Amino acid sequence: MIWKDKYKLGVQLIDDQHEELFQKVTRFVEIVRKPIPWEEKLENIHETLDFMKNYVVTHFQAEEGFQKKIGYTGYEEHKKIHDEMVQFVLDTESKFMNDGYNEQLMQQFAGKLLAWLINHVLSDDQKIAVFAKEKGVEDFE
Amino acid sequence: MNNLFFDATKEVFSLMLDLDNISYDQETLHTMLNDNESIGIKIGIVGDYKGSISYIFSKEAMLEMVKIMSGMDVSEVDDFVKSAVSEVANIISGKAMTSLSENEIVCDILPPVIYIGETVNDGCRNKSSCSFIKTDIGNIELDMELQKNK
Repeated sequence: MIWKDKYKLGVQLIDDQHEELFQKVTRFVEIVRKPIPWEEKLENIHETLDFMKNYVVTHFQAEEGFQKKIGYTGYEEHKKIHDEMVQFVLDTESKFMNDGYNEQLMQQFAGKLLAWLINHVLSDDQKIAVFAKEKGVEDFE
Repeated sequence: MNNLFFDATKEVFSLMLDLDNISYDQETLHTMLNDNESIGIKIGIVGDYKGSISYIFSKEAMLEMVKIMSGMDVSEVDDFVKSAVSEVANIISGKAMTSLSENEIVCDILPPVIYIGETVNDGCRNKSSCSFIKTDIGNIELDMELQKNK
């Protein structure tokens, strides 16, 4: 399991979504790395990739919505980071489909996603939590 | 400049991997990587300075990094491991660039390039631009080749 308590920011809305996102990424990585022939797990790969991709977009939108509501001053920069990641995920998915469902591509994607997500939550998202707490902002539902 | 990347490595290793026992050894050059299992990750730098920073990771360090991040048992330096470690090198470099920008030096990084085999060992021979970082999970060499852009 990738999720660790240290990834909690202390903002319930974001923490709940992060934990869900990490669960989806964990599931995706586990399937990509499952030691069975690629062809046998391909359908599962498609399913989890799609699920994860959709949740990434949903979560980023929710997080950006929260940032706007609290008047987060780093919103534009943060949104740019999100947009670049979404584009990377979409480009990877497109390449995966166009290049005949290449296993190496998925292994590389999973590795990059793992490290990127951990750093993003600990570095970039932490700044939102610091701002929210300094402003004394309550959680949003 | 060497300190910049060392400090960024310390920050990232502490933040992402909970590794705080990291020491810097400028004197030891290329003592570690005579095996075929180390990986080099080279990141080009453009802007006010140009050149590159290369990170050479031991197999042991790479596997431990990914085990810590994924919580999964990892025993082989495969594409998943290389990609995850490459992204960590990318993150370190990004933080180093941010530190530079705080001193009004503007640089950007290019996508990481992974290299393996004999060329890994050539990088740090007798070069003052190399530094050796010791961590609890294994060792890393940094090979920095940067010059001010005219």
